[in-house]
Amino acid sequence: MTIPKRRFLGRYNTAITRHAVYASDAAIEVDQQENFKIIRKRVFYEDVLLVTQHDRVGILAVMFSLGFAGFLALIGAIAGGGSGLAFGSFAVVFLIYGLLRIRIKESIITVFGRRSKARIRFTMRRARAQRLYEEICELVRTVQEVPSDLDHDSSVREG
Amino acid sequence: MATVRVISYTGPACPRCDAALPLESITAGEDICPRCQGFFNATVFHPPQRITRVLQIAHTGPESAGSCANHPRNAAVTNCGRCGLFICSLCELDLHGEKYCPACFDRMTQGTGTEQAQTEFRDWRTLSLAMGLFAVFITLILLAFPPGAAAGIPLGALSLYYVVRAFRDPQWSRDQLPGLIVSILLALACVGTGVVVFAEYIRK
Repeated sequence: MTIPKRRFLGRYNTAITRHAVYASDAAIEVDQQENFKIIRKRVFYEDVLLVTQHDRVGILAVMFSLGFAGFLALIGAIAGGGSGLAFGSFAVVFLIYGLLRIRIKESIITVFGRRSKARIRFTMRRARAQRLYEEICELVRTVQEVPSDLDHDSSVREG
Repeated sequence: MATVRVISYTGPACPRCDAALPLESITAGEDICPRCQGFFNATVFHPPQRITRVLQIAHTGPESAGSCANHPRNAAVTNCGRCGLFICSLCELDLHGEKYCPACFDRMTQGTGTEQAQTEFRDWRTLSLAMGLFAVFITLILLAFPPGAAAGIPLGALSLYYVVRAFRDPQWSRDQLPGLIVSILLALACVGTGVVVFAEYIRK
């Protein structure tokens, strides 16, 4: 039995969770990493209700880089001389990164299914995020437009 | 006493503040959340409802169909491809064209019989990375006690074994490559250091 090839779409990592998101033939698969185990959730294309995309400032990343820049600058100021200059230049790098993260917002795609949802974050590649958003919508549209063999008229009965 | 709050998925919500949004209230294109006033692009879909027709014994008569093993009042439409039990269309689970009953489906997904339906996997990449880092840590500590650094050899080898398992895993995908390369480098560094330190110790 062969497993259909999956395509890596992106990640959604927070301070406590790590998710890798893939596209398979029938669903968007979310691999949630838990210690040395991967828990897989699937959002089937035929179950998708809503796909959204929005931009936001990555507060954690900005706070971390600006905070670290401040910390390095402080060490540089205390050390002084050549080493102080080295610390100062590292602080400038983190400061620029932090300011860039404020300027270039991260793009988040969310796919809501009937029973689960998938999220993908793009830190820098906003054009790719837009492309992927359109691609997912097209894929879902294609799957849901195919006439299914599901019965719409009958009722569920349990004995 | 600590309480555990289970946050369950409740359906479409604002992607910014997670406030529940009824599908009817969302307009395609740019929309705004009534709670957080945040903007987002939305595309709404209306998938067909999944409703199954269930034949009942009362309608078909006991002569024309056997009854389902789980639902005695429902007529069996097929039998399980694994245990042979008669099952109705409510119990029928389709996998690769074969029909299974819910119990067999559960047993198979817990094992390796139906890899496509599995939801839990061993994370070989993280295992190899963790073992690689552990090997480096132990090797560095034991460098102070020369023959002890040879412990890096089995630990590095174990990390390499996990790397091989990751590459051979059917779940392998290209995005795991950077992590595995780091694991290989860490493992090789430990094995190399262990070999050099041990050889030096024997020579002395």
